[in-house]
Amino acid sequence: MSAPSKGQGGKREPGGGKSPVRLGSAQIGRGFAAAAAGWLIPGLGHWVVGARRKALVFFAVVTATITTGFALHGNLSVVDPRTPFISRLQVVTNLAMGPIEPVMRAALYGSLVYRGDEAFVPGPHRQALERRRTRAFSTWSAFGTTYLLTAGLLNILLLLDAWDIAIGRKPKD
Amino acid sequence: MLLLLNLVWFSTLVSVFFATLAGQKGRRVKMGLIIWGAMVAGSVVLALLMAPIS
Repeated sequence: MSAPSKGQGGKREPGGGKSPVRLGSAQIGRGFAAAAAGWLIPGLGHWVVGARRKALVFFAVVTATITTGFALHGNLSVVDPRTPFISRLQVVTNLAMGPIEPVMRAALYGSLVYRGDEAFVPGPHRQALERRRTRAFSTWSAFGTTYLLTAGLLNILLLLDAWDIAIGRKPKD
Repeated sequence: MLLLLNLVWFSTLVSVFFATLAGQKGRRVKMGLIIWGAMVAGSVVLALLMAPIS
């Protein structure tokens, strides 16, 4: 029988389970700071906690994913009233890319349009949704959209990983 | 051809990401190659299975 490990994931109890980990306010602060930095620029969260080589790799990968999605005429998601739950998840995934998301949205569509039902209301959002629809006609648009959603999902994993490293649950390397 | 290029590029990005994120130090290249191979092979097998019978 192996001895109980002394990992940072909580102490082993006699029954075999793990006791819950109590985080101090300093740890929580470090975790939030790392996650916020990672949201601002992909990989910055890892840079802040000292995992600098990893940070560079993550920055390169997420940036390349976003660039490829952009180049393939990928679309950013809007909330579709016919599929509100799934489309909201897609919008949240897009927003996980960081502040680059609203910048891209404004550059691509001319306004910060997040709701698909605004196509029926005259105004700037209607024009923006028309631009979005036109972009979807491109052959590779669906591929581009997948790349953009993937970039958001990868960045969510990065935020969680940066949090874990910052609170000491996971080693830097 | 572009489809294959997309497959290879997407698999490369995802495998580098996960090998760096979850791979143990010194074993990341091996893990990345395993993920890359599994993604490419899985996609090719699925494409063959879903191809119309001629």
